[in-house]
Amino acid sequence: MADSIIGPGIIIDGTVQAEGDLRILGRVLGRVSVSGTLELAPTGSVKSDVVGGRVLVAGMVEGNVTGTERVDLLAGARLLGNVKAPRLTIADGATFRGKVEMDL
Amino acid sequence: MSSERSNTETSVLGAGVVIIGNLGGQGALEVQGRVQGNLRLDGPLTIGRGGTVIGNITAHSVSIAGSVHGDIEARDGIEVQGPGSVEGNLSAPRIGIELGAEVRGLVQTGGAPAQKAPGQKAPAAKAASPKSQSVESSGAEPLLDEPALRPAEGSSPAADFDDVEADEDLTEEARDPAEAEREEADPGALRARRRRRRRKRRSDSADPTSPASDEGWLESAPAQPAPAPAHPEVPAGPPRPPTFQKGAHAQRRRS
Repeated sequence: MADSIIGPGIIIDGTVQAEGDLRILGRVLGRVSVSGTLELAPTGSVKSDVVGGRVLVAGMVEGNVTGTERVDLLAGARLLGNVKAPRLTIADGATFRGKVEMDL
Repeated sequence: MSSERSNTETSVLGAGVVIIGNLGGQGALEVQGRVQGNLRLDGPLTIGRGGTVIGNITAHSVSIAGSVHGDIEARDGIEVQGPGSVEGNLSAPRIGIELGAEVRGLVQTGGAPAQKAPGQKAPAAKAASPKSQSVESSGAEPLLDEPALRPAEGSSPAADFDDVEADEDLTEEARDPAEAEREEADPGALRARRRRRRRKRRSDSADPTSPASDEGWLESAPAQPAPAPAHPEVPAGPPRPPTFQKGAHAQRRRS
């Protein structure tokens, strides 16, 4: 599957659903659901729930994050919401407020 | 649009991507997946083979090899390639449609959606022949307007008005039950009455104040161009849906 990128200048007011991987450098104001790896770059933000196989967050999320494989909150990440994943890493410098649920 | 490299990065929505909602912003965008919503982009838009957009598009330039259901407006140009299909209106200074492309809609070149003084031709327009400039678009900034091609929601004010009229009509119909009864009992008399009325109204209808014509009236008197009180059979007959009488009733009241 071709790599999909939502560029930094892009704003999506709606839901995004992707087979394969997705990189978000822009803003999404709706639910994001990805079957593969979802990478939220430092410039990227999602104002709703995020679901992915592997979720890498370096940007901002206001919503719950679910990773069926794992969730990584990288340095600079801001997450306001709960995390549900079998594996979770929170890097030094990540901001996070929410619950963690790991018994997936 | 700073010097930041990432700001001009191309966005790619791959074949497995479905977006339901509006998308806007800057930079190049390539759609190989599906977008259900309006797309407003300050940059070049490419809809690849297999890409689908259901919604209106505004972009700097648009290249289509997939399919679009909606109006497309470009500041620079629109190119519909061989495998591409568009169901909607195209509007741009330059428009190219390749052999094999399917386009169903109004094509308007030259009538520049870009900002410019009225009456002044867009510089880009000289490349193409400005064919249909009939639609008024100069001076305004239609690029920022939603093309108004979506179906109207709810009932229009006109429809409400008609409903009100129809209701009134019902009450009026019930005003003279005795007469209606009589006519129901004797269809011959009813017909004669109707005939009399029609004749009378025809003679009355020299009144020029009511310009519109009524279908019911035209059926019985097709030669009459401007009938005024066109309601030949008001209180008679079995109860009918009120909608049948809207026009006729409106006419009668006006006269």
